[in-house]
Amino acid sequence: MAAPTHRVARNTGLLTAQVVAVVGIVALWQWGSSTGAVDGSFFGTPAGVWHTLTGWAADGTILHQLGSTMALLAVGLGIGTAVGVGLGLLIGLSDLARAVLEPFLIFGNGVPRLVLQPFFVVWLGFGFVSRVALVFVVIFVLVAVSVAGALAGLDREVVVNARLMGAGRANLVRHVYLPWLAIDLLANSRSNVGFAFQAALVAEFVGGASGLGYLIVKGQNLFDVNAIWAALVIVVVVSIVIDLIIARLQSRASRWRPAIG
Amino acid sequence: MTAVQEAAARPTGAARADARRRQAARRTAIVWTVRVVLVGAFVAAWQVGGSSSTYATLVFSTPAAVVQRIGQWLTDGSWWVSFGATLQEAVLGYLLGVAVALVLVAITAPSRLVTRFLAPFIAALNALPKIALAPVFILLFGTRLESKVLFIASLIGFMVFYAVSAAVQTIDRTLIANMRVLGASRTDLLRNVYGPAMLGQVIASLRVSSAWALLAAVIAEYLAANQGLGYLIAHGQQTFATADVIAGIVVVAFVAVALDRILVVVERRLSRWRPQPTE
Repeated sequence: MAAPTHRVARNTGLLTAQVVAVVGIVALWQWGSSTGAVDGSFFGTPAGVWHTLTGWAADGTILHQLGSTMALLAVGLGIGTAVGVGLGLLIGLSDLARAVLEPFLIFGNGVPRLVLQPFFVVWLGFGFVSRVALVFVVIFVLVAVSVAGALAGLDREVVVNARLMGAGRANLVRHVYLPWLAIDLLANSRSNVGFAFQAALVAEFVGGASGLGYLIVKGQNLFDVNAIWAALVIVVVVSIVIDLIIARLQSRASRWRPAIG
Repeated sequence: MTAVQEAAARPTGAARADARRRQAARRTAIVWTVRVVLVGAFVAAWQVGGSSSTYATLVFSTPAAVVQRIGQWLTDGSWWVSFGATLQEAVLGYLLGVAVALVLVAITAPSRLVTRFLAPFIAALNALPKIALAPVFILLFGTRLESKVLFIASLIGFMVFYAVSAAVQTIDRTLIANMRVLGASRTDLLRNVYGPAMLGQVIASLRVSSAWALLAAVIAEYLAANQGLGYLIAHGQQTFATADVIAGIVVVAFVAVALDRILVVVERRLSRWRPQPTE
């Protein structure tokens, strides 16, 4: 899935061109709205976005809402991954469980789970719990599917050899299954975190009065385009930072492996 | 492998095969029993729990009420209009998105400089949860059909652009060099190398991206609309008609799964010429 688009521009000329392009567009946008060529109250203005951002930074809005979203992300991902690994292990290790549960899992994976949020809101209220529920539901199915798949793809020879050398079920889980799953989870973590972030934002759109998604939806309700752009700037920066952190973790964790490709 | 060899080595009399068949049949019966019991227990618990008090009915509704609601919808002409609106948004958005993505790839892919220039912007966009853009479209383009189509198109367009340009970049450079040596023009390359590679990727991403088109339509409608499945869900939520909310979610789920099943067949047909991935 993850394609090698992180090709760093080695060429300083290219980098300059990229910076110039960004600065140029922003400058043109600002200039256009100050001369009236672009309707600033409709499209927003860079100065307005900057003003909103600095205002939020000063009054602590950014830290507060970012913290709320990150807490949601962490709790939802944590519970979702734990339950997903459990379910995936059950399906991967027991033929009966696989036969019984796999169609449900396939159905659950095919269902767009983000639309469940209105129900969670009715059920669990507008608080943190209903939002965690959405992130959880989105993540645990993904993790269960990938764990079950990873176990199915595990080299039987390794298992047979480990058994031959006297490994019991507990030893197998500890020394064969879990390390293998850790690799798989890490490999999928980039897209999983992306989905979780998406779910967190949707949950905040639908219910609740905190988080980055709430900032965006508040901007929509107040017809404040600058607030939406400002919130989106934060979202973009956060997603890039998360992405970089995971990429760093992945390369660190896979240093021992022979390079592929 | 060893198990297979063992099985092959064993004498396979008719009696043994028969016994095995009977065992398999019994296993299937057990599996189905457990499945039915699981679903039955869930539905029964929901029905009993949901009708146990006024509050519970308000929050959870009951399966009977949900089924009844869906039944009403299916016989109601105005519901089909809503349903059609959602499908229309999803389909138009999908088509527009794919078209724009293919044009963009065709423009950017052949030039290494353009590709490298765009790389960081694409990486940033890829990291962004695109669903976050829905309010922007609602604010800029209103709540009408066009607004949703544009939103879905931007979402699908990016997904397809990302997948297709990655696929184009993995095309064997030697192949292209060889074709150039043999005198292929830019159009020849586009038609015989880039074109098929791009189309193959569009087909490969059809399942994922069509599910997203449907989901994006529903979410955009939920946020602001006056028709469509997402609007029905939002309206049900605002009027405390939980049966409507759940019925809406169930319908979306079934449409998504049905679409997925259909596309599996379509995909298999369209990619029959490709070597099957070993699984």
